[in-house]
Amino acid sequence: MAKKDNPFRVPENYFNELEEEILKKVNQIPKKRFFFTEFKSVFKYAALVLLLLGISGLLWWNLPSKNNNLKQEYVELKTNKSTPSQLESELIAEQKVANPTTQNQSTTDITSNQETTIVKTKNLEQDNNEFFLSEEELEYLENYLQDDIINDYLTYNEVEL
Amino acid sequence: MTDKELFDLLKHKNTQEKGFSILVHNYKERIYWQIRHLVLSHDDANDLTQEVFIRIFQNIDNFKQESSIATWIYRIALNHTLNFIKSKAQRYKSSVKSFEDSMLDNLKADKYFDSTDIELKLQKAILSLPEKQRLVFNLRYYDDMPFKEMEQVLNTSESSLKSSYHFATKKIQESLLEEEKVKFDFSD
Repeated sequence: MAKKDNPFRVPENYFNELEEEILKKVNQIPKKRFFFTEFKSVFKYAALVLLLLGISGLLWWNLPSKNNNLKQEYVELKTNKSTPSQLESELIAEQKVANPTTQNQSTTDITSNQETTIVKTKNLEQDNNEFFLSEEELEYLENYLQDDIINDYLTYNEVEL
Repeated sequence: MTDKELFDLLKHKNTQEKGFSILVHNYKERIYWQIRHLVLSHDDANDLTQEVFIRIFQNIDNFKQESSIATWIYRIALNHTLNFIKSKAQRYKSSVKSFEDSMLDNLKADKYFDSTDIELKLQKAILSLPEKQRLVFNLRYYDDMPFKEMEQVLNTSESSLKSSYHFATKKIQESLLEEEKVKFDFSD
């Protein structure tokens, strides 16, 4: 095989025996193949599908809870609408008396007007609450502050006692 | 038989054994000599050649046809042999270099080696080369492997291989001239 002067030698008939020896050893290797290597590609895709299922499962797990919250909020809103506070009811009644034509309006318009009134009412309540003074606060003001300062404060904030 | 035909035989389970038998028949000598020139001992070369072919059989499914079958086989043989030299050196708690010196001593007593003075000196000079130069020299000088093929086996550029071969032959010539004042002809 070696073209140059090859000082290395091999036993007689060595290469034929080598071939036989190699094939004999190879045939002794157990034929059984590990199940995973046999279906490696199938497992690869199965793992991918499982991963996608896992991700979508996670998303699905989170979404329903949000939907439930929204649904709950919607039900609460509906319930609040169906039972307006006393002040809201009075305002709606006043509005009906003041604008009798609204009775002929479509249900959608009436609901819309009612909603606007409710929002306005809530804003009004909120404004009043901002300048509401409790009895203790008033007592404190009367006892410890001078009258003109109290008057200035009340006048500035447009609070009627 | 072409690489493609051999690969087709090796790929299918039913024809794999036949394909492997052809592969062993075609490459056993080249692989043996490639290993023998690196480990020097016949017994070690015999064991390693068998192990290489068993490893090839076990990894047939991993062969992706990115290179020729010959290149793939040579690469396995080369890596297996270099690992053997390193692990044997570690087992004897010696450096690779001193292990290679012991290989030379064993060679003197090897009945499958023409133990002439000049051949021993040549082997000593080859063993004194750095690993890469020694591989290139052996593959080129003994196995007549083209640089193009060597480029793929050793994963090194052709110009670098040519330069390694040039330096290797020069060092060997100098080494031999120093001792015997004998000049070898290393022309391709």
